[in-house]
Amino acid sequence: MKDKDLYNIPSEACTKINEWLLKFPDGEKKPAIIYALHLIQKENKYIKSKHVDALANLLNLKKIDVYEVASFYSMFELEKVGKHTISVCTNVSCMLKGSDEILAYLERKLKIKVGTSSDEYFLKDERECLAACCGAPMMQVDHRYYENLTKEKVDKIIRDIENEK
Amino acid sequence: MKIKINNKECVFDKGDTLIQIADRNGIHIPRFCYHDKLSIAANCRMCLIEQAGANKPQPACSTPAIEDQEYFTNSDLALDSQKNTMEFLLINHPLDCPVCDQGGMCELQDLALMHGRVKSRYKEDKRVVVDHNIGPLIKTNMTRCIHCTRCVRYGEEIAGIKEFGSIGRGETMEIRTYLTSAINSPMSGNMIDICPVGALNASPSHMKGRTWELEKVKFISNHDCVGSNMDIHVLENKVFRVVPHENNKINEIWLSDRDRFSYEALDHNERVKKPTAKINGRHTEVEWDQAFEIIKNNLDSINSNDVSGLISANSTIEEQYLFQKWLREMDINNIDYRVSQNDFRYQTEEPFPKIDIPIDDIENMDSILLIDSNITYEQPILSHKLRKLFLKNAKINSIHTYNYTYNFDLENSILINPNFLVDILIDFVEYLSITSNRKFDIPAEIRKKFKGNAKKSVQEIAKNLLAKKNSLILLGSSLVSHPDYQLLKILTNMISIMANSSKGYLVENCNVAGAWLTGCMPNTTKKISKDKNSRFNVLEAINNKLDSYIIYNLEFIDFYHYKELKKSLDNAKFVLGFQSFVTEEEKSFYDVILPLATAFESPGTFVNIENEWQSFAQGCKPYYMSKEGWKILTKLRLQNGASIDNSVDYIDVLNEVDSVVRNQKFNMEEKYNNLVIEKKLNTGSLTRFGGIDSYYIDNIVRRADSLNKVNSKKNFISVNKKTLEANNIDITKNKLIVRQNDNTLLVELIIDENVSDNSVYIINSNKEYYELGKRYQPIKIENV
Ligand code: SF4
Ligand code: FES
Ligand code: FES
Repeated sequence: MKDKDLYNIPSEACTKINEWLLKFPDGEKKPAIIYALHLIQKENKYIKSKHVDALANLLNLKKIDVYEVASFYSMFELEKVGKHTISVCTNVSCMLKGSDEILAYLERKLKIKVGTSSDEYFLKDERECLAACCGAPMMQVDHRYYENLTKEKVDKIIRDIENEK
Repeated sequence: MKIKINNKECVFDKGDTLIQIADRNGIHIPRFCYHDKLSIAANCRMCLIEQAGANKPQPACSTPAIEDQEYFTNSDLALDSQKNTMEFLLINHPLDCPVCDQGGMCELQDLALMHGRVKSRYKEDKRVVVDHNIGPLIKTNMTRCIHCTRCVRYGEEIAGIKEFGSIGRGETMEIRTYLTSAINSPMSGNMIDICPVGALNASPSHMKGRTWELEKVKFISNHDCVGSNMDIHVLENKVFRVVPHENNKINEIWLSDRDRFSYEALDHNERVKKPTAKINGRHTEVEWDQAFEIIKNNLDSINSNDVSGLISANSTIEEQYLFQKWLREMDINNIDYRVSQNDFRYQTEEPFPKIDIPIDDIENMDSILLIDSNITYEQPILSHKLRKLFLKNAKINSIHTYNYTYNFDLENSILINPNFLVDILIDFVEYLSITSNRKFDIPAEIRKKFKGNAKKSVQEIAKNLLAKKNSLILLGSSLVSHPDYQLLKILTNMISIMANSSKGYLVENCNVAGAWLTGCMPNTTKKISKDKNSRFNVLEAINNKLDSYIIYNLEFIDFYHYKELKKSLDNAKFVLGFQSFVTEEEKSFYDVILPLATAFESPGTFVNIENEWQSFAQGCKPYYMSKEGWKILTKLRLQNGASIDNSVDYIDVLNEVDSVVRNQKFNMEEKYNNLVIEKKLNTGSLTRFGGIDSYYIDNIVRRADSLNKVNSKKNFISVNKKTLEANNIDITKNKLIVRQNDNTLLVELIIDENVSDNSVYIINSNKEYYELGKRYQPIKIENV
């Protein structure tokens, strides 16, 4: 394996992971997988195979154990994604309130298909209810909730992101 | 406690699940994910049954029985639930049974017939899954997978190496390995058996025949000392595939990959087809009778003391018995089977190669000490027993020369250079002589070596053995070639006595016990031979450059003294081979070669490490003109005028062996008179060590195609960093030259901290390593 394919989990994250493990019975390593994947994804935007390798190594688990978890949850991204992640809720309440149109509008506006990514944006539909039905339709941008969406509101949110740069 | 299933009263113990109770009482409940050797997943829902009064059906595999309840497996509710589950399972299952290897032995097919609807209501598109290459042994067809996760649980729980996982979820869930990794477990083939559908298939027999065309014959594994039971499936007089045969005392329902796939060697192009004899310097095919005549003429003209007969410990006990009988009738007494052995001290008291306890008793141990045993790869079935122990919290300790990969975790381990194995065992003896209350008269020779400072880790392991009631010490099979093998056995024996442990000397071949029992060695027990003269063992036979050698079912690389053997054969007047396989090179050394049927093609008996005699019938007819060993040897004895009934049958031979050998009381106690404790291995420099690749261990597996694709065949050596630095090796390069005497080999370097200091680890996986030199000998490493 070439050196550049290796990834070292930052020591700060290691400490956090170890603290987390204290909450579970002795010797149980699997409960730390989700938590650790969150930390890694936060730092790297998405999870590459070298991250899986490093984590499996750290927790003394099989790579497949880590990969099973990473591939199961839709909140973990295993492919390269843009800077900002936009997840549009498409579960029942949001769907009834027009999430399909919002999604289609975003696809046109950002010129990407749902489930794909540009350098800037990663657009996905959230299959599970994000527990904000009272503000349906809603979406999550980089883990912040935006509710009662309309096309105008979407325009403004995107404009704000652009301006932030 | 009692319940009623289908109005039948069944008793049960607290905690029993409904499926267990039903199985015990012969009540059929359909299932896919449930398997009695695996944990409960309850994810297929095929086992739904009705509980009287409950408002919904219950999964029988995960529901514990409740006292005095009534259950129905065939009520309308139960049957309807099963039908519905089946319909769902079939939604994404391709109905390609006519081209599926599993067809005819498929659990899904059977249950669909019994519990399914006649017609499917599903009209939409079916899911298709892309297959990945997971190695040469298992061919996948994942579109057929029903996600029962038996294979995933098998890897996690039984094999101890989790390789399959369920990736993704919902409709896109797939069973696969991580990225592109191949399956590596030495017991991976069992996943083919437990997969209820045709998703995992045996690669070598894939698409080559149908289940209902096969005949099955029970057979005994011939590649390790365990004696796993298996069934060989025969198609048109050829071994088509091999599957485990349940034997709860030995292999349960599992089989190692080596036992499962070795049959592929049977029609290798190096098989000997016809008897051949060297006529005018060239090998020519001859008739059997002609060959027998040449043999008689030659052996008659040679002094019987100048002949040596060497037989494989992989041959059946009938062959071994007749071999030595044939030779001893001609007064040839230089007989041996210990061709890979290197230490022949105390040979008149060669201990019986045996494990003190039955194999299934290993599960009841609570402390284990492994002495340089790569058990997970060498005896996968025993390793599985240790894994079970480990899961039950027993402590497994190891002293080893390489940090082998095990499918269990070690409690304590000591990594030691092979030169110091004897010393560390002496430390054990010393420490135990102080701490154990079981006294043993330790020979003064050993006492002299006491140093008075056993390592902490030695103390820990010794304490662990002493503290536990049931402990077992296993001496690794590759140590057979260690120059101090006898010493290691003696010390192991002493340790086991003082620690009140059982012990086992693991060996590399399947019938070492048989060879020992039938007296295939010099100066053997009086029951077999009346001969009182001292005779040559294999090493002496080679070194004394005799006039004639008779080699039975062995290749030259099976000999520890490989090169010396070749020289002696070259020198000999008459060399006779009984061989199933011969390479072009080896052929030239022989004067006569008789084509020998393999164990698959002959009836026979193997005696495993627990001294269990297991007979098997003939699987298929011998290859071309080859003949079963017992027949050839009987012919040869007849030719010498032995008084044998002409119509002698295999059973007569077995009965004779049985009456002569089995019921004799052999002295199996180990006594060591005139013990001289002198270490032979002391290279004082870099030492080469390492066993034989488990897929290169005998003449059959060596030629099994698929097995040999599992491991890379590239030449490589492993050395640790410290040793490399001490020898001024440039570690930025990945190639180097190894040198033993005048031989060199260019190899790839693997920097490996699992290797002990000052040694070079080589897994002997091809002939070049044997050409280079021997194990446990000095070696040099040089920059390219
Ligand atoms: S491959 Fe076979 S054993 Fe594995 S989950 Fe699929 S159906 Fe079950
Ligand atoms: S359905 Fe969208 S937040 Fe609940
Ligand atoms: S066998 Fe019970 S759920 Fe699969």
